Amino acid sequence: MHRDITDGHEHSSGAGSGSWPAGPAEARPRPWRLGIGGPVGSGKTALVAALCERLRGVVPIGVVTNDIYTTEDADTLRRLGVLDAKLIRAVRTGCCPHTAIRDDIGANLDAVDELGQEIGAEGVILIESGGDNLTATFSYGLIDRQIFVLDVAGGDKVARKGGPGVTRSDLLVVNKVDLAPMVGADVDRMLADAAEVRDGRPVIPTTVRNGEGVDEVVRWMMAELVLAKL
Amino acid sequence: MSFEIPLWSDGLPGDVLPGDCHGGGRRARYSTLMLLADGRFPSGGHAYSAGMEQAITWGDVRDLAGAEEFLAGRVETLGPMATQVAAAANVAAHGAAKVVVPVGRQPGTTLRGDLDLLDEAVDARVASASARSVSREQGHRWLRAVRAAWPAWVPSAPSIGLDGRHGWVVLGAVGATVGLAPSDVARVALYELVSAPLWAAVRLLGLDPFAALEVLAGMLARADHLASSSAAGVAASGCPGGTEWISWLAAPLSELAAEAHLRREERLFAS
Repeated sequence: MHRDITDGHEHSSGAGSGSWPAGPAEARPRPWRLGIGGPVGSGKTALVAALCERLRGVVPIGVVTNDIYTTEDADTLRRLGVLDAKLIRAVRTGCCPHTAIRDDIGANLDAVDELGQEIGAEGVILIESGGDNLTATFSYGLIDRQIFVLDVAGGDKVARKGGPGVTRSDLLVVNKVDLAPMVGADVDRMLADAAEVRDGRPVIPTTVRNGEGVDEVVRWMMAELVLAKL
Repeated sequence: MSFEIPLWSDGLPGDVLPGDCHGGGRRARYSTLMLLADGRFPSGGHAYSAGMEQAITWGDVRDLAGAEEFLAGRVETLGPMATQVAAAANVAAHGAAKVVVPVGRQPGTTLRGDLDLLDEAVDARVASASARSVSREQGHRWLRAVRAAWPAWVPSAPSIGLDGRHGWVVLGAVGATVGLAPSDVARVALYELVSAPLWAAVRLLGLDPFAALEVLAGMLARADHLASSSAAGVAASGCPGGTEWISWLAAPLSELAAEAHLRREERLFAS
């Protein structure tokens, strides 16, 4: 059975007897939305590019970026040729990247609405947060699932530190595992620390730059997408 | 329905408003007002600098004193228009008075018609296409947040044509549906006019937030009369001569700044 993904809360029917007529209840089908967050330089844009590359031709895809210098990430995606320019939207966050994805998501909702019109309700929209700290996670009013990206070069104690990105994200990606020997990081320990605080939620080690682990991320993502539509 | 401005302008919390759409009884009017003006109200306010980012880029604002001058100029030029438009939209939406009588046309007979005229009045007074576009975007974000907060009372946008309107028009009109008076929405408009650029300057220049707060409090106290006089003016005048009574004061440099800002790659704010 196929189920449309909709935003019921945005289309309230207005049950009261106000002096103005309430609008009709409507729940438009919309694309599935995946948030990708994590600290600066952990590999969020690289992961977005890799996912776009893998999914090109499989599912219609669009990207919203929230970076501090917003057009830079969008330009990276365009330069890599993984996405048409019209399928990338840049949101300005007013120096508050966490606010734009969590507390005040209107600008991002407008961006995904616009992209939804481009790619159709059967598509997927990736929303990349601006680089922030371990507490910056997405509101589920904006996304359906979220990935938090750490990298081993940021220090192997980061997973142990926790924070909502590490503990509550739907998928934790530990990126740049190839750098572990060079920075003295213990990847196994990072993965074990993460597993301990994540209550069974998945963790995938990757080196996105050379493609290692990306297929596993794609498999997780496609499984979540199918489950959302069941 | 009579239009009783004295009740609205200096009423106490819980005053029953004419045109109360909440089924009668006392409304927590000031609670609603606080909610609307709260910086955490999710209408996108954190992302707008209202020209401050560009002024800083140009070197026109370098410190708190410069920011204060910027705000004073904004109050002086845009303050009257912002408060008048918000108050007039509020009155129109309350349905208590036909405040807009267009020149060469029959007086508006519908709320949509009144709001159309106010919307056009803003278009005619804001030269920068970028600034007009941002203003409509803000209206859209206001509408989304207000409708989420009071789903039973705020109508769907198409039913009265609120979608795509300027921020001050939306603020005034939806303010009426949640029980706010003309002076209330004028104060929110004034608050937004100065607080958004000031907090942008705090972030961009690393200003002392407590010193900034002192500036903001003083500025709002000095400008408060604008909200009252705009609300009273809308009510008292009956607005003969259409929307010409709305202030034509403008700030050409800020219009140029809006144009320059939207064309910049490295900008952090939406305006």
